[in-house]
This record gives sequence, C-alpha cells and structure tokens, in this order.
Amino acid sequence: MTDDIQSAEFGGPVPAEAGGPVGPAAVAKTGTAIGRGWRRYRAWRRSRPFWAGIWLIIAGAELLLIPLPIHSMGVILHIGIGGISGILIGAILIALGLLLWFHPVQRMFYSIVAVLLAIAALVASNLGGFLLGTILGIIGASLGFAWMPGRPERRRARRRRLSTGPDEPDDTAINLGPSASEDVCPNSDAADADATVEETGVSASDAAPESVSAFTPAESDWGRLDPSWGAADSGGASAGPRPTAGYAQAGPRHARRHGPSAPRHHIRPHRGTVIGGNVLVGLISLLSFGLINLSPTPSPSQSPDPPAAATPDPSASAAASPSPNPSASPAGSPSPSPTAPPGQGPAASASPTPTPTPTPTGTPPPFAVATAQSTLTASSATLAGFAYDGVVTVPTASGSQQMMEFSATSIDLSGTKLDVAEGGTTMTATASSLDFSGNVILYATQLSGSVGPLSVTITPGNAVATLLQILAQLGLSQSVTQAFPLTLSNVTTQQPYIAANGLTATALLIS
Amino acid sequence: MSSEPNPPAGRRRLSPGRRRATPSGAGQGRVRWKRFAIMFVPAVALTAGLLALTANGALAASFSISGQQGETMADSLTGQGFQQFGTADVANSANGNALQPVVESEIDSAQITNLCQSVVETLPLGLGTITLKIKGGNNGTQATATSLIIDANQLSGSTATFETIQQGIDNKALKHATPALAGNGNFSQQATSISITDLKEVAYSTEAGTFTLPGFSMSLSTGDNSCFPGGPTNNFHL
Repeated sequence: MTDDIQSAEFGGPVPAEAGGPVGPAAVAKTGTAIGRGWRRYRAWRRSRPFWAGIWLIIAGAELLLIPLPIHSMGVILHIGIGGISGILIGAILIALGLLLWFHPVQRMFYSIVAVLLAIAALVASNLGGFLLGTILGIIGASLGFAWMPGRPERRRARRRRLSTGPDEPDDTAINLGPSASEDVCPNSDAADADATVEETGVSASDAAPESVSAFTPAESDWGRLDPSWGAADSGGASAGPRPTAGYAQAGPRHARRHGPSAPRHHIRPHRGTVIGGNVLVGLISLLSFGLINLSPTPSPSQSPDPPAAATPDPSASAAASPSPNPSASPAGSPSPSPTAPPGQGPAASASPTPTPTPTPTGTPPPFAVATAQSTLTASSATLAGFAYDGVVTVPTASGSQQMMEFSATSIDLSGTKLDVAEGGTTMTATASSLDFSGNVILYATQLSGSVGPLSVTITPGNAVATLLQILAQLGLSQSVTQAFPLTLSNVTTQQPYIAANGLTATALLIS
Repeated sequence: MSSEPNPPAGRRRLSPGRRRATPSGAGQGRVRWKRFAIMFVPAVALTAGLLALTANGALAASFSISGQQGETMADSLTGQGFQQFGTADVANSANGNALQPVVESEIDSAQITNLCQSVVETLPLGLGTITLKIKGGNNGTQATATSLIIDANQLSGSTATFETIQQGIDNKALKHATPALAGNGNFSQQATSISITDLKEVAYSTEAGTFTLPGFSMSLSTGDNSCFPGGPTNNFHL
C-alpha cells in the first residue's frame, strides 16, 4: 500500500520534492529510526502548506535583514519609517509562514494577508527587498492560497470513472464495505461512523437542506484536512483525508440522504463556488489594497512641498521672529534680533541659525559649540571686512569656554583641511577652496597665520589680540580689510566654529 | 455539535487503519495550480503596476539599507535642511564587524539628478561577484527623497554650496536630534540648503523615508559594475 500510494503521489504536481521519491523509499526499507523520523516529518510536511510557509519565511527574513543586518543587532543607529516597515513586514511574513505550518486551517486568511504585505513591501521597504522579498512572498502566499487538503489524483480518478460510468459506490461516501479498497476511497469508515450521526443530528439538517448543502463543500474540505491540525487527535481518521471526525458529518450525511450519486453532484458545483468565493475575496482584497495603496500616490509628490509651502515669509516677518515658521519646532530659535529671515530661500527660516548679523562685541552664541578636537588649516586665507570682536564665553557640552570671535564679510580659504578627532577616530575633510560669504562669524581658541614674512598667532588675550581689538573698535580693521582684503598664508585655526550666509566648497572630500 | 459522541467512535474504528496509512501521508494536501494562479497572477500584475508607478515617479518607495557598503553617485543633489556629523556604524568590513567611523548626512528633502546606487557583493562558494544597481532621475525628472539619511565613510563633490551654514556646532545643538552613539560635543555642521555636483559617496547605510525614482531601473549583474570605480566590495554573510 505504501509503495502504491507513494508512486501515485509523486506523479502529482508537487514542487520541490525532488528528494522525496528516492529518499523515503530507500529509508523506509531500512526501517531505521531515521526512516521513521523522515516519514513522520514527511507526513507532517504534506499535511500542511509546507512550501508556502518556507517561501514566506525566506521572504520575511530577506525583508528583515536588509534594514537590520543580524550582525549589527544591538547597535541600531537609525530606524526610520523605512527600517521599521521593513522589520515589521518581514516579521509578520515570517509569522504568517509559521502560522501556515502550525495553523493551516486559516490558510486563506494568512495567505491573503501575506500577499498584501508582500506587495506593500514594494513601497514600504527597499522596493520589496529589491523585488526578491516581494516575489518570494507572492509565491509563498499563492502556494498557501492554492494548497488544499486531499489528493487531486482522486478527483481525476473519479472523473475518469464518471466518464466510464460504473463503479459509483466505490467513489462516493456511501461505501458500506470498509474493505473496499481503502486506497481509492478511504471515506468508508467515516461514512459508517456517520451512521450514528444520522440518528442524532438529522433534524438539524432537515430544516434547511439547501443551506446545509451550500456549506457542504467547505465542510467536506475541512473534513479532509489533516486531523493532526486539531489539538488532540494527531494522525486520527487517517484512513481517508476526507471525513475527519469533527467536521465531516455534513458531507457524508448529505450523501446518505441523497443517495450515492448526490455527493458528486453537489460537491462539484460547490467546490466551484467556494473557489469563486475565494477568488472574489482575493480580488476584492487585492483591489482594495490597490486603491489604498494608490491613494497615497499624491502624498509623496506633495511631501517635498511642505518645506516650500512653509514659506510664509510675509507672515513670518509680520509675526515676531522667535517662531517664524509654523512647521519649525526648534523653540530655541536663536534670533533675538528681529532680523527677518533674509531672503535665503524657503527653508532659511526653518533652522535655528543665529542669523549672523554684525553682532555686538562679545555676544556669546546661544548654542553649543563642539568640543571635539578640530583643526582647520588652509594654505591661504583672504579676509575681507575682517574684525576681531573680542573674547566671548561660549557654551559647550562640557561647560563654557573662552573663545575669540571674529567677523568678516567674507573669508576665502584655499587648500583647506579640516581634521576632527573624536571618539578615537579622525575624520578629515579636504577642499581645494572654501569660500564663506555674508556675515561670516568665526569662533576659535587659536588662530595663526603669516602675513608675508611675519607670522602671527592670536590667542584670547595675547598682545596681537589686544591690538586687533583696538583696531576693530576704531572701525579700522573692517574698513581697511574691506578695501584691501588681508591675505594670510599657512593659516591654522583651533577648534573653529564658522557661520556664514553662504559657503561654496570645491573638490570637497570627506573621509 | 451533535456529532460529539461520534469522533471517538470513528477514531477508534479507524485506528487500525491509521497505523498503516500514516506513513503514506495521511491527510495530505496538494497545491491546486489553478488556485495558485488565481492569487499569483493578480499579485504579480499589481506588483508590476506599482513598479510602473514607481518608474513614473508617481509612487514613492521607502528605503532602509544597512550593514553593506554601497555606492551612491549623482550628477547633482540639492537639498533643504541639511545636517552632518560624525558617528559610528557597525558594519561588515574586511576586519570583521566593527564600529566604523562614518559621517552621517541628513537631508530633510533632496532633489537628485542622475542617481545611481550600487552594492557589490562577493557571494560565497565561489559563486562570483554580483552588482545590484538602481538608477533614477535620469530622464529629465529629478528623483526626490525625504528624510534622507546617509552614513558615509567617504563623500566627495566637485562643488558644494551651502546656505546659512554653521560649521563646528555641537551635534546636540543640531536641528534634528542625533543618535546616542554620536555622543555629544562632536563636531557637526548644518545648513538650510545644500547643493552638490558630482556627488560620490560610499555609504554603510542609506535610509530614505520616501524616495520617488522617475525613470527607475534596477539591475542585477555579475561582476563589479558599481556606479564609480574603486568602491568597496562586500563579502556576503548574514
């Protein structure tokens, strides 16, 4: 019996079971524990949409791992909406795959949810894991959707027999002889068992035979499910997939009432309607998903707009400057001076820039300056409208710090290199030129350079600084350097902070 | 149900047969391929439709990639709301999975011309090298991205223009909060807008809340066909 059925089974269109025919047959002969284990595993596998689950689990893992590589677990820097949705969809697909295995009764629901998620991943997560996750998910979900308990061969056989005519009893639920070829029609036992139901439960179905018959195919489908899905009776009722104890009564009972030929008559059309119903549900869900999914289409195209839309410059100038922008939350908008955001384009007002205007001498910045060791060097610097504004107390992450404040209308650096040492590593940014323009403010703990043969170092409070401050207070340095920009060579700035209305960098390289 | 007393009886009666039947696969099921097509075909059609919408720039996709080094190249990138700071990423690199220093660039919204992104992966078992490449914004319509976050360990541009820039600000004083790993007191910069031409970067992670990719194309090829030469190659492992 085993061999017969096996060969018959493997004629069926089951995918990816290539190893099956050879392996189990060989193992079965040996009858080892491995063989028994294999057979048990195979029985388990075949009694549920196993491959559907596999595909869904792989799809989910793929979607999950792109935003969340397993080796960076624990140090997740940023999980934005893209990462979250990838992880969420991946995890749910894995869960659905497992549910298809362990709770296949709800496979329609799981499959439909899975296919929707797989398609949603296209939009929500790296184009569906670069399409792979979406495709695997669709395959898995479709397999889960298409999986039905029972063997199609029997239907084919039934059809064949129907065309040839005879042999009907053998074919239907009314097989009174349990001995009559279990292989072909394993329903006999349950049909017999059903005799008891006949007595107790007829009245219920009598009331509305049509409605009962409407549900019959579904019931009989369930009846053919592997009983091991139910908690306690694993492997029970195994003589025939069809009439499992709990569910099967409708089908056989029906069969009994209408006589041998009835079940076939009923089952066929009903099976059709069930498929039709599922198709309908599937299509509706797909369509509704499509609508849901398509409806946000305009929103992405709108989303770039808000910054542009958030340009109520007139209102911003009318309102007090502290909150010039409705969308900008930074409450610490550090513009005590009512300089309306200069016409710097839409987003200008959105950031808490200090709007570097000719600030009074020694005004501390209202924000923290980095404490990381940073050095800006330039082979040459050209300063226009340059002035030393004195020493200011600058807030930093580790308390306040005395720094020099310089201002200029423009600072053009060439051959620049910025080294930042932090966290044990050094980041370097080089550029062939850095041109700061418009309300340039520079804070530094030390500034040095050479003017011709003369090399100068300015630190807070040293002689040069004092001299420069006097010049600045007389208004000399600004006007002179405005007319004749000062050029320094081999400039080094320690711990620089520079703000400007504009910066143009050429040949920028950060590494 | 009224059949309550029935199952035990049935089961008892079936039990001798079950022992024989189980190995052959009791309660087996099969995939009905017509049913498969019923779900598969519409799903694939819908996927194709969504991809077409993506390629038209009508539909935005969300991206989040990390752990692999990828290249990004663009003829030009303009962005509003820019901030940049140094931090570290756990990344798959030649010397194992270690913390790599990276420069994180965050752009609220960006418009990109001629975008090319590629990941080169060396497969195990001598299966060779493959390149996954995505292109977009190359037929007159710019690709757009919102909430773009790129952790790069190398970044270059032939010209970069910033408006209202602050360089050397503490990363905790930036407009958007920075991750805890970035610490505080670290050197960072922010600008209200940025414009970079000939952008090239090597990134450990890329994330975009929404990404419209008009003229989108995705290709998988064998060999190293990265966007620009000299980029990194990843060794595939989980």
